[in-house]
Amino acid sequence: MSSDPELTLEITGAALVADGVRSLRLARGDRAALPGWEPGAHLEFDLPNGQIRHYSLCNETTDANSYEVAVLLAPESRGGSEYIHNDLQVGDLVTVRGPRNNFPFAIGSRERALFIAGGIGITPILPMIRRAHAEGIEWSLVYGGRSRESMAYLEQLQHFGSRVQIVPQDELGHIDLQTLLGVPQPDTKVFCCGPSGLLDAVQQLCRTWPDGTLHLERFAAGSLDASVQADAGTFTVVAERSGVTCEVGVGESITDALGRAGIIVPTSCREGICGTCETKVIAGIPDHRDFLLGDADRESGATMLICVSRAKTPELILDV
Amino acid sequence: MNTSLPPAPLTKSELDIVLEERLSDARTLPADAYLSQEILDWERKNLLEAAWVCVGRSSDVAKAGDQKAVRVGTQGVLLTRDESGDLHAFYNACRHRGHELLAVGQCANKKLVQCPYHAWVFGLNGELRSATQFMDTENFNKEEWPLIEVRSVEWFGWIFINASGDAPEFSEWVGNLTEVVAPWDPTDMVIGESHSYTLKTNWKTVIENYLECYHCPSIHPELCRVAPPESAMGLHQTGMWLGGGLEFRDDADTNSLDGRSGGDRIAGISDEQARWTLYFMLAPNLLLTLQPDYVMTHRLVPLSPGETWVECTWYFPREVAERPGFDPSFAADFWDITNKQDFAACESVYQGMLTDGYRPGPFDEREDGVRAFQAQLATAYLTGRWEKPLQISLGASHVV
Ligand code: FES
Ligand code: FES
Ligand SMILES: [Fe+2]
Repeated sequence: MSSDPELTLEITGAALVADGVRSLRLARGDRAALPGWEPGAHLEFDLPNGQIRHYSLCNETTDANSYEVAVLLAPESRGGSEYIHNDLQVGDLVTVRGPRNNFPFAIGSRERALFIAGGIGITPILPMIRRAHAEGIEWSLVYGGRSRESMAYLEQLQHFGSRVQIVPQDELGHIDLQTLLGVPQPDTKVFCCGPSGLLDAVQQLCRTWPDGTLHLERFAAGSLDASVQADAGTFTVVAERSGVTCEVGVGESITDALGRAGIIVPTSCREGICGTCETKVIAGIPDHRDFLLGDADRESGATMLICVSRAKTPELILDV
Repeated sequence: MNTSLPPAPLTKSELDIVLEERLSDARTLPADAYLSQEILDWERKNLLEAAWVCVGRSSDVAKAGDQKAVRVGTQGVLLTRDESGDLHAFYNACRHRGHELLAVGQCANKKLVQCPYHAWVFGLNGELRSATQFMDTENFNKEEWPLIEVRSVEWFGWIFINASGDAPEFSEWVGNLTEVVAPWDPTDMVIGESHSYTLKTNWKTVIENYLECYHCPSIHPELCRVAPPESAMGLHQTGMWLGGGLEFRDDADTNSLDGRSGGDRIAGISDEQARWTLYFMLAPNLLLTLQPDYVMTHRLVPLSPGETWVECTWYFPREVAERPGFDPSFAADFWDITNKQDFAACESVYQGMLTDGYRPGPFDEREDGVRAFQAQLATAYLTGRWEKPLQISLGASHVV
């Protein structure tokens, strides 16, 4: 995603804001204004070991000269969050791209916002809450985590009183999603970020809600990062018209795999933005990784952008 | 209203007579105003593009990522809805080499606007996101190539576009029609039914026909059964609209074949407002009819001098439309009959205008709405500018 501006920023502050959660402030060397952003935006970090991580911005959008992210030290981390926790010091320089936003706070002035955050997933939600509050939008937050000590920003959130419901697992168990989402509420948008178990459950329950209700961020806050996702799993692609079957390997795109088998599908951007490689799906469920398709197309699974998207089923049959 | 455009290719004397001070001295527009391609070309540029044209309903682009291409006069316009729910309108031309982003009439739902030609991609807010594989010619800067925005507004759930960019502010354009329509609050109403018709007539005859009920006794038996045409009244306007009303007979509740409603009275209106049908022409292309229990629009698009596309739509409060078993046909059937009677008359008038014997005719007092509209046109033909229409005073003057 070379299209975003690359910034070299200095770490101007760092603090432990909860057990295993370190917040970092970043600014330009000359402290000049940074590109603006909207709630839900994240930065892409290049780490010295070659890894790429995405972390949501969680400071005030009006704070023009610095960015803040909060990073969870993930036990299964392949070194990314460990580096951020242990090696990065105030004064160090990091390379980032963005801000980008795949999780915009899209809501009408008469709608209500229901925020659901799990653990470090609170980070993109915080700026949304500030925005909702500033604009007089009705909102409430349910925030779950392992224990109070592990949950960042509790103090700030407690100022909002009964709009905020804190659910530490060791005291209260899991968030009661059934009560929260079992009955569709009119004029309500749901914004959710957290571990994939939570996201899957929320997605499941929101099936009966009106189209466009649910907004979620899957790889926010580095808990799951895009590079891990993008490489996961091999699957089979059947090119129906050409009568060819091929394996798509880990880290390989469908277009590349088809190319190896002698089937050339024209591509331009190769990053899931331009739509050149859009291909009809005859059978199988795509795992959409693009930035172009709308929600209805995505759900219907009738087409996919095969330069980036993958498969949720072991096999995909494509109209190529 | 602020810029002056070249006058239309009609003679001053044939326009002056439309503007005669006394209604009895005034005559209708000359046949050329309806028949000539040159006039329609002029109107597209100077009447439609210079106005606020209704291009459809907000729900046509309801969800984030919804996109629709429409035509306004000679201009192609792309509508988009962004992630924060804001509407955008752009000239439908890619900043690379001008390919249309979407063919006119087509819809899409995508997170980005994608040009089919060389795959440039723009955000829903128009910014160039990726000039796909564009081989940088030294100083190519994406910020310099956004889609070019066109003025757009949403008003009670309808979308209006000013393609020329220099029409008065929309609030000034509609004037006090906003207050008049407010009790009905059509913003959240939903479409119960919609019909479209392609008429073999000039677009202006459809508006003129809508603005008078002198013809009602002769061609609308069903309408006369629910509302006696002599009850017409004029409304005081401060915007680019003309309007009047017909009062229902005591035994009729609404415009339907039996005078009964298949819906509910609209919550915000008074007992007095529930006794009338209010008819509005919002220049240049929207006819808006407010009724006790539903709202109707006719949206006009001229296709050629002798061809007009009309979309007639019936809107109901959401809770009514979503009620199990709700049937909008009580409204749609009545108006479908009435529309066809009107449209046959308009097509026949056009046939008459095509004969060599057509001459500008006189106005009856009940046609001062037609005359006000024609005076608005005549002034525009002469000066190249939209002016507010003359006040009309059908029957007792009565302000809603
Ligand atoms: S090549 Fe651009 S989306 Fe696949
Ligand atoms: S004309 Fe649109 S990309 Fe070339
Ligand atoms: Fe009529």
